[in-house]
Amino acid sequence: MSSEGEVILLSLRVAALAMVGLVPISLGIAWLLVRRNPRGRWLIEALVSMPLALPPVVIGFGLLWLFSPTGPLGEVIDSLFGGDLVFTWFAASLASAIVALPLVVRTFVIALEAVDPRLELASRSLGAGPWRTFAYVTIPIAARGLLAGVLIGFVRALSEFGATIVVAGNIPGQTQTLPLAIFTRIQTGDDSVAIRLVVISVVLALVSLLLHNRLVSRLASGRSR
Amino acid sequence: MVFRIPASFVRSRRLQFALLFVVGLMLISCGGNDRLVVSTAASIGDAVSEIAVEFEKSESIHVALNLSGSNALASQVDVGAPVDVVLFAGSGPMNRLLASGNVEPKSVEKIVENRLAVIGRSGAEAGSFPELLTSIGGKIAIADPGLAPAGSYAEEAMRSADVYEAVESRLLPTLDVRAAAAAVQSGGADLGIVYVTDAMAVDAVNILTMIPPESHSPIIYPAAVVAGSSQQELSSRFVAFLRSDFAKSVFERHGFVPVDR
Repeated sequence: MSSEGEVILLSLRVAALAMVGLVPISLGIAWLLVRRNPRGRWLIEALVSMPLALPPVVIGFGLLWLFSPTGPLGEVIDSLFGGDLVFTWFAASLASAIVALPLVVRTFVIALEAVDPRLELASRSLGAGPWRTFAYVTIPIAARGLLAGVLIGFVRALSEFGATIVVAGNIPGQTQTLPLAIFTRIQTGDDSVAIRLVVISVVLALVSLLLHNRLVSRLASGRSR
Repeated sequence: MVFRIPASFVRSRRLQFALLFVVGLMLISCGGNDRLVVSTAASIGDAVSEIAVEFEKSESIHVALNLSGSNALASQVDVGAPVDVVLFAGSGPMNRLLASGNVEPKSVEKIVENRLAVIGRSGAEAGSFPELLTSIGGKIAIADPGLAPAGSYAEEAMRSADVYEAVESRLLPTLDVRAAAAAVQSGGADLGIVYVTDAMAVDAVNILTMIPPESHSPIIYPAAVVAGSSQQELSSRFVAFLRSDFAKSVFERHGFVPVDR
C-alpha cells in the first residue's frame, strides 16, 4: 500500500482541485444571492444547503448512480473524456467539492455582504464595466472573507470520507485520501500508522481553521477598505 | 496579517493560463481503461495487495484495489460501478450480486477460508473451547451478529458447544470484528471470539485456542468476475491467480486458509 507521504499528497491534491472548481461556482452563486436577490432565493439556498442534510454516503451513491458507465450521465462522460469518471481522483474531488459547497457559499455570502454596494456604484459611475468593478473593487474588499471560505471548504474537502469511498472507491495510490487511509489502516490492524495519519489530519485541520478564524474575526469587525 | 489580492492578478494573463493548464490537466488525466479494478474486503486487503503486485508483473496491466466493507462493495457493483473482480469476506454479499445478475454463477470461486479463535491479552492462559469461556470470567467480545458475519459465526459456535446460554449475559457485541479484537486489547473485555487473521493483526492479543471449524458454517471468502466487466479474460485470469501457489502462500502467511478445489 502507499506510503504516508503519498497519501497526504494525494489528499492535498484532491482537496485543492475540488476548491479550484468550487470557488468560481460558489462565487457566482453567492454574488447572485447577495447582489441580485432573486425571487427563487429560498430554493437556491435550500439546494445549496442540501449536502449538509444528506449523509455523505447517500451523496456518494447518488453520484455513483449518475456517473457510472451504465448511468444517465455515464455515456456523456465517456464521449467527452474517453473514460470513466467514477473510481478516479476526479470523482474524489467532485465528492469533496459537493460536500464543501454549502460551507463555501455561506462564507462567500457573508464576505460579499461586507462590501458596500455604493463603492461598486461609484466604480461604475466612473466608467468601469461590471467585470472590472468586480475584479478591482468587489473582490479585493471581500478578499479576506473569500479566503476564509476557501479555507473552511478546504478543511471539509480534506476530511470527506463517505461520499469519496463510495464514488471514488478506496484505491491506494489513486483515490485513497487521508480519511480513507486511516479507515483502512484501522481495519487491517495497522494502528501505529493510523495514529500517525490521524495526527497529521488534525494538524492540517487546525492550521487551516486557525487561519480561517483570524480572517473571519477581522471580517466581523467590519473593516472594509 | 494583511491579505490583499491585487486585482491586477485576477485579470492577469498568468492566472488565466494557470487555470487553463489545471483544467487541461484534469481533462487529460481523466478516465482510461488501462487498469483492472478489484473490489476487495478491507480485512483481506493486505494479502490481496501483495498478490496483485505479483500479478502486475506478468500481465502488463495495473491492478487497482478498491477496499471497503463487503456489503458496501456489493452495493457499488449493483449501482453500476465499473468493477472487474470482487472478493468478499462472506457469501452474503456474493449472493446479492448473484441475485441481481451482476455476477455469473460460473465464475464464482472459493478462495480462502478464515478460522475463529478465542483470544485474550498477552499473558492469559491458553485452554480449550468451550471450557475457556466458562472458566475465565469477565466480558467476551464478539462482533455484533446483526452487523457482521464474524459475530454470527461466533454465536453459532457457542450454540453448537451448548455454552451460549451460560455466557450470553457476558457478551460484549461490537460494531465489527476488528473492534472486538480492540476491546480485548484495551481491556474492555477479557476474552474475545474473532477471526484468526484479526488476532494476528492486532498487537498484544494472543490466541488462547482455535475453535473447531465443525462448530459453525464455513467462513468462505469467494471471488468472482463481474458480469459487466469490459475485461472478462483478464479478470478470469486474476481470479485464477488468486488460487495459484504463490497466492496460497501469501494468504497462509496472513492467517487465511486457502481452499482446495
